[in-house]
Amino acid sequence: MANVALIIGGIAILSAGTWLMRFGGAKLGNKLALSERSQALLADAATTLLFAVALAATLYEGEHFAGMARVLGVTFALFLAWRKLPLIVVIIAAAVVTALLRLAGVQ
Amino acid sequence: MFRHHFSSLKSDTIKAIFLVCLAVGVVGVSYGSLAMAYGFPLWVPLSLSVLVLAGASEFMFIGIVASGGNPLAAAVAGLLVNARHLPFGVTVRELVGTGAASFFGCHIMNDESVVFGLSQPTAPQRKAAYWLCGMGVALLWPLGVLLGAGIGKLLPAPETIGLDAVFPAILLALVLPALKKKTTLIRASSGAALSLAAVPFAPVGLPVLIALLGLLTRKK
Repeated sequence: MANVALIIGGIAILSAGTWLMRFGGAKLGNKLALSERSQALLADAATTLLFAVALAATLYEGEHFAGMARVLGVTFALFLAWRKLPLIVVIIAAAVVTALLRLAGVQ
Repeated sequence: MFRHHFSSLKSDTIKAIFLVCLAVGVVGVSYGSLAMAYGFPLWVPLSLSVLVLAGASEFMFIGIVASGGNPLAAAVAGLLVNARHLPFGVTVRELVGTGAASFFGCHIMNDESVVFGLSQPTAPQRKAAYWLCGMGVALLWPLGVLLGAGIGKLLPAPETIGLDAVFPAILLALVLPALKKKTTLIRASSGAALSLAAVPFAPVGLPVLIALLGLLTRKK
């Protein structure tokens, strides 16, 4: 494995860079005088990113299909959310359905 | 002051945030356990969990280094995974606080705190949800790592109890109301479709950014 100094350097770069992106984004947002239309566009940007992250996390494990158990568990949870059930029910249902499907042999 | 703010949240929201933070903690346990199995000393996953506080990039970092990769290259790959925090920052700029508080307020920015924050109806609730979720994750993620490094092997894998389904499920449940707007739905769906198509080909982190192209699909 790599030497300690390089690992410390890597951790420093990753943590400083990640924080700078978070902080820089927020400062950038404050600097720009945003019209109502660009504000709506930004809100949609966040929604689009989160939606893409969520679907990728549903369907993929690395570069491969995550398996039907997770997909069905998330789909069922989404159905409950659409029916306006409380969020805790949605969360617990996602975990329980996925775990039970795996227990039943679905991968 | 914080208590006052958090009391503005609906009890279902608080419970949901608590459960999500707990799930983050359990994934932290498996992360700590995995890092030990790779042969890392505890300070590596622990300092990553405190200083980076962005799970996917940390898994990637230790994965690359454990397989013999250069830690600096692993850091760059991790930064690509975390690049979405830049547009997140622009969007949640009013939730992270001002002055010195914003230094920490920005650090607790992650998928979960952003989505809980943005999904609330009023400004005080948005801020309260962002901070409660962000601080919960900032606390439970390193705690999970510590626990995992100690007794990780004794606990079930997150997949066994279906936790891998919890994160996409909560993200989807919370963005669902925003997708009622037709423009948002078209932008988000086309963006996500592009992104999903890119996953098998593009380096990790890039597909998520490709989703932003979906914003070009409708001008208004």
